[in-house]
Amino acid sequence: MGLFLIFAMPPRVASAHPHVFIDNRVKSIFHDGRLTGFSVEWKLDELFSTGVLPHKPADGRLSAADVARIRHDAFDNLRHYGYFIHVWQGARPDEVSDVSAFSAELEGGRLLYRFVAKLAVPLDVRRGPVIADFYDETYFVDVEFPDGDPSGFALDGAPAGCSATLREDHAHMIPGWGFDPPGALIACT
Amino acid sequence: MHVIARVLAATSLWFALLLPAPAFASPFDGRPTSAADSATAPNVPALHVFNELRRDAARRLTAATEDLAHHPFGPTFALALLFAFGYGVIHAAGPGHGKSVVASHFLSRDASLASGFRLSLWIAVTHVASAIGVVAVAALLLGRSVPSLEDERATQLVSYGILTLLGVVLLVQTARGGRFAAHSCADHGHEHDHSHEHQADGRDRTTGLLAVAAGAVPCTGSLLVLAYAVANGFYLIGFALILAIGAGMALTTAAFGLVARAMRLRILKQPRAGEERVRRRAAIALAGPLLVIASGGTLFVLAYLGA
Repeated sequence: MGLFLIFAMPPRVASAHPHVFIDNRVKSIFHDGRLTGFSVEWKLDELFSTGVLPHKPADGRLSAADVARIRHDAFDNLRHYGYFIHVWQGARPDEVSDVSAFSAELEGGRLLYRFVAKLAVPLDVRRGPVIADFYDETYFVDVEFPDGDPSGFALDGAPAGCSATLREDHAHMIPGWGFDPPGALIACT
Repeated sequence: MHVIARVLAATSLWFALLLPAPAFASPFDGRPTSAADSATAPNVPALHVFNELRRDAARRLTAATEDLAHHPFGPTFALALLFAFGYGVIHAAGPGHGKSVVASHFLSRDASLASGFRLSLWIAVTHVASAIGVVAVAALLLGRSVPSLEDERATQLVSYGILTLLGVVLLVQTARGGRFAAHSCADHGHEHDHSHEHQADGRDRTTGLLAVAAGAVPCTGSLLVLAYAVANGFYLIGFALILAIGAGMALTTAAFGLVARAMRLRILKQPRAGEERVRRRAAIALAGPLLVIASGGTLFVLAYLGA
């Protein structure tokens, strides 16, 4: 019977999450006092970078064709995931509707993505605090501000009296993973 | 015939494995998934510590592999080799990996130790070969290999399904052989070892297929190791590591076979002759395939239910 129990043990759930690590740096973009989006910089881990780009160019420079392929193979699909950007004003969620100015380069064997994410609805931060969290809800990817660097989120162009605090968002735990995602709380006095 | 049957079994498994294309669910290139699809842990704050550890482990693993890419065959490689072997030993103790197949082999006949080790080795070799195959197909057909290994359900269903079916075939073959042996032995009024070559042949063939079915679904660890190795271009290291995993697995499955063999010998020790011994022998012989069916069937149902 004991032997049978050993044979019939339930399969172990493969829990190798996360698989990809992103060092995240974000700068806010404001127009006329409204938050319209973010300028984002992602430094991807070396393994993932190698997977995307198995044959790194000798001089470390990516051609336009390389960048186009990287965008197609390892970026565009993230639209289904909101580019890992989750925004709320109060209880009302906003979303990234468009991405522009995508670029990719190599930095010490790691891919560096830069892009501008535009919000579907510009938010007037003076009307109430805005939460901007950065996470993959499937937790395949770990999005982190490098070493908890508080300068990882820069509030740029915001109206006077507004500030941003980088913290773990206890209100929006990553569903199913028990993680408080890192994010910024933008509030004005 | 033997070889052709094995190749056919392996090929059909391959197609079955490849059709549902289950292994890629990275947000970067995979199908859109929702949190509900991938959620495996409840929202319990106490899990934070566990999740932090897991995140830390994943980061360390990534760092170690990066180190391996820069300094091949250094201390990290030696350690990785050791870990790979240990992983093989421990992982094979879990469900699957052909323990029931090897145990069944020893339960159903007076098998030589060498044949049991050969069977264990054959399972491990199939395992290594199929891990290479999966990663090669992923790399060649899909261009790059950062496979997510979360959605293994389809592969499990196929493997466990085939295992269970082959278990049934083995059961029928054993039951037929057993009845014949019991009958003729009873007629003789004494017991001695008959060698019913044609029946043993059939069972050996089924056992060979079982070994393929058990070994053909590579485990998560082998795939991850190999995929990372290929992605980083250190093929030799990847090959060495999954060989070490295979060797560890073979050790464990062989150990289970030895336990089964000891059990059989012990049960057959008393009485030394007579109908009781024949009955016992037949019962033990049937226990092997039943073990395969039970473990294969249970794993199939669990995989089906998504456990």
